[in-house]
Amino acid sequence: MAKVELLSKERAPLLARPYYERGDPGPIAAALATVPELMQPMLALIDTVFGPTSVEPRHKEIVILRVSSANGCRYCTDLHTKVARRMGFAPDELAALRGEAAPPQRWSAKERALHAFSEALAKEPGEAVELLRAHVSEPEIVELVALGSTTALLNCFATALELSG
Amino acid sequence: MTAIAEAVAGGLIGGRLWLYANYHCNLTCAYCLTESGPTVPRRELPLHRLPEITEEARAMGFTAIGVTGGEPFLVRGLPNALDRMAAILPTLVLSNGTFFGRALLSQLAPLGGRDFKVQISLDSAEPAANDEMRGPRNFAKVVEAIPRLIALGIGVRIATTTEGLEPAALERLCDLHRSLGIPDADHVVRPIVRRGRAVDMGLGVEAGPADLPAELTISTDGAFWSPFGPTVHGGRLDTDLLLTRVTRPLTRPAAALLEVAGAGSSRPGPEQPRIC
Ligand code: SF4
Repeated sequence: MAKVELLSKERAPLLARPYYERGDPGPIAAALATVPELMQPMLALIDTVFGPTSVEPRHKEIVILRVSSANGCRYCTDLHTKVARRMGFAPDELAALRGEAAPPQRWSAKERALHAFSEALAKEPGEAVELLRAHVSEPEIVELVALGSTTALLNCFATALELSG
Repeated sequence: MTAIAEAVAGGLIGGRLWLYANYHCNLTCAYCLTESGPTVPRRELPLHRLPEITEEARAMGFTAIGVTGGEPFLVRGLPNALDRMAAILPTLVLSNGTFFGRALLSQLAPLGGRDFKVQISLDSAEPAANDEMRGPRNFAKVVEAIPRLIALGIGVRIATTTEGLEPAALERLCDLHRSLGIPDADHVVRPIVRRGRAVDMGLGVEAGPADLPAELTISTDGAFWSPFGPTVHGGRLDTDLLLTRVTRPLTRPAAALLEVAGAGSSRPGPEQPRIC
């Protein structure tokens, strides 16, 4: 049970209504709807950062799921375990991303670096970027930090409000 | 010309900005939009915000202010705030008309002859029919209050909220307000809106944003599409007509109002002051 009201379609404020047009907008949007002016900027940020960018989707999902599990966010970890499974991540990869096992040996050096970067971002952010430098370009560093930080924001939001799927 | 002034001039939004001074009331009317009553939690806009918002509203291009509640005159110090507001923009305050005793009238005296009016609810020329909805002795207090306000030089409007008055009953009500010195132009008749307590009583007509003119309304809970927005049902604020929680600076909710009105939800119509 969430700690705040998740607004139903009938109670959705005017600026929030477009987000309900295709059905249940999910608990994050339904919680944000209580302060409608937060919806557009926050959902646009999430959409931009999580949506198609120059970093390939598999690499982004490694960051999202590992940051979420390292932050102990049950809602985001469960949600993105499902997303990652749909994307084709194998069970041993999912276990690594959920913090339940070491990364598989077959992973590339870049994938391992992304995994380590994500853990560091959650625990020691000042150490995180150096773990990536040898494997990605500077724009990618910025993007991956934005992705990991936005994930952490959502982890905090979902955990504090006890959102569930 | 500001964006608001343009939207007002073009009929996209109403020129009057509404302020919910409070949510509590000495009455418990059967159709009250805000489920107001003597025992509801005291939630008010801070008094200093009323003239402050009025000043912002004037600078942005709004043309008038409406103050409603709850019963606004339960807010201590309101006459003083109204005095400052009326110096900035034409000001209308909605009241149930039950507090105009000697003390309040003397506080309102400086507003005589100014661009200031009081709108008082009166639903029937028959005391019993009026009091059935609005509480015991309400009729008597209202017809006593009106001449006292007029004697001070304060303009009075009458608002009648009804499920549908028979023509003869309406005629008797109009005879009454004329006899009290209120012209027909200052008598507003409007239907009960099915929000707040009216939902539980099975009264009134449904009204969504497409039915309600866009009139920026500020309460302690945020900014709303219309004075019919910050209603309360089952003790819980209705959020369907909420625009923003932020009200300061006023440019933020005003931009949201323009965004929604511009998107085509607005159906401009005559000014529809809320029930009080
Ligand atoms: S309708 Fe007006 S007078 Fe009646 S209870 Fe509500 S706020 Fe008070």
